[in-house]
Amino acid sequence: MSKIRTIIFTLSILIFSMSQGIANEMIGVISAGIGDIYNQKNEKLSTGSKIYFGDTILVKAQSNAQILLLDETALTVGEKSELTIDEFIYDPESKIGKIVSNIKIGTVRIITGEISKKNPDNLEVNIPTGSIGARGTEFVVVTESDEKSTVVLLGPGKKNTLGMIPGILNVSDGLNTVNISTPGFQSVVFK
Amino acid sequence: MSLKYKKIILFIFLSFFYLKPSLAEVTFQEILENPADLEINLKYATEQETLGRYKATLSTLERLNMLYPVNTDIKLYLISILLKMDSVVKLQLMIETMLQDPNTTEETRGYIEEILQTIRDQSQPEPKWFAYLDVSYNQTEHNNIDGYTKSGKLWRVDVKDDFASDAIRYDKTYAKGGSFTVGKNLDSTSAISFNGSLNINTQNKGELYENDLTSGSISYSKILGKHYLIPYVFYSKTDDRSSADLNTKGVGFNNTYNINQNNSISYGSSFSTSSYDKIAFNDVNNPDDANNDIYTANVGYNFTFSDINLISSKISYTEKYAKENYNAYTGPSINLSYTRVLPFGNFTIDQTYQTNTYKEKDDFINSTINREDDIETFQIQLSGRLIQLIPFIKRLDPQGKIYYNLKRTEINSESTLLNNSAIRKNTSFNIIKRFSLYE
Repeated sequence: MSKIRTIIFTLSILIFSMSQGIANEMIGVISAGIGDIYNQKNEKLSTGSKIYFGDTILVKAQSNAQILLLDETALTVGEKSELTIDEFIYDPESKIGKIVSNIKIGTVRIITGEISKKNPDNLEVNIPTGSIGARGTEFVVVTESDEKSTVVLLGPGKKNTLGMIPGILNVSDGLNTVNISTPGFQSVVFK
Repeated sequence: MSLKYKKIILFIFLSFFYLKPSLAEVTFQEILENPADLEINLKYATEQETLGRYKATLSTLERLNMLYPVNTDIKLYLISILLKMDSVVKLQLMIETMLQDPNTTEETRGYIEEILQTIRDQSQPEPKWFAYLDVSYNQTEHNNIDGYTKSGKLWRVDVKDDFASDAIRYDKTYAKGGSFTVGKNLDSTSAISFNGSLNINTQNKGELYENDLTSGSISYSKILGKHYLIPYVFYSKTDDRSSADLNTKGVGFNNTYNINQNNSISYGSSFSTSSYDKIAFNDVNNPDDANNDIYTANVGYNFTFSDINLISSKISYTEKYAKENYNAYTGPSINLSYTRVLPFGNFTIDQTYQTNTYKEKDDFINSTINREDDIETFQIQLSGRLIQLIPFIKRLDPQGKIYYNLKRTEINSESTLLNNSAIRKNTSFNIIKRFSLYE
């Protein structure tokens, strides 16, 4: 029994120290910051500011920002927007990881990075009315209120000359799921 | 495995596994540390584009466009990427924004109008049927058309003899032909086409290569994600002036897997069966002894860099079965080629090594020596549209539908049998005029 206790104790210490490490770890930067951008501590952010695990980014009126995460996911955040990176795990060697982001309000355009490329299920974007899964593409989310969000698939078209495959979005309202595979098509998610 | 094969394989590894990473000089870590540095980020964007990582190029250019909103060059670069990506929604939005901007110059507006025209052209539905006729002329000069051996000797029933004194070395051959293709686009990713052609081949001094060649093929092309697949069947028949007529039919497929814009893997396989018709005046030679079935398989790797350079490598394997085993062989080969796009055409250097090991000795030639041929083929060629080479011809060919090809080929065959050790050098000129009948 003492051996089991020792193992449990050691594991607890390890998990605790790992979670502390993750909480303090940089997960990306504000790669472009125009205007008034703040984090949850009301610290003003500008181009080059570091983003940490669990940060909430608030972009005020007449402002916009691009956030570049370590896996090269790029989030372009429009004015009057708020989003949180709730989960970010990434191993640069294996390029495996997971991103969970929460868009509370506003307009956010996302160009997916290595995590989604390796495993599309590992990029999850939550909106007040549901959630979005993305398979190797670019898309924009416009959250007008807690009641309504619009999701538009962007990214390469079928006639692209670069050998790129158009992406797929899985948009869910919690009960039903809709797939969008044609760039320019959109889905409106109501509560 | 001989030393030259090892050298080629080593070269391929160095080319594709060393060259590619070396193209990326700016790292993502540098971008995280300097996200607003115009020079570093532009360099990163172009490097990532070269490596086929277009999403990284796109996000970098969008960032620069946010940080440097009056820089027209960044906008135009971004538009060019969106155009290639067929990202219509973003492209239209960006163009509208630029057109509404009073700072946009007339030159930029002209460029935008060209882009809009391209979008309009792309949005038109593809024609379902297409048909064209190619009329061609080819002239080739040979320095050793009869294959005069290196030693001037050959084996004949185990006796070393002199090569025929009346053998022709320098000669010219001419080919005049027409080829008709008709096809249908089944949908945006697949098409089927039928081709029939007739070539009349003549020789200046000799008559060995004089024949009429009739051929036909059916091919189907399909894009499946990143795969471009072409299965086909074909048939050809020669009507020879001095030797047995040859009938060949076959089936095969080629597939190209596009890893990204710069890297692709090609592979294919084919089967063909050939039979010779007996000819009345020369039945003693039993031409149908050379009747054969040929199986081939190949795999290759293609790497494009800077948009104008292509390095290709291919490893092939041929298994030839024949009615008489002294005509049958197995033959692995390695091919390397480099192509560069030039203003006046595509310049290609190509080198192939093939080793054919025959399955049985030919008693009529030598009953003790096993035949093995090492064939080294070097090719250098320039091909393209004639208006690229001679611009003033545009008045005669405004659509650029006359194609040319200049080629120099050197074949060095080293065989265990004297009869098959020879050096051949050919120089050819080919011109094709295409008449689009329906498109």
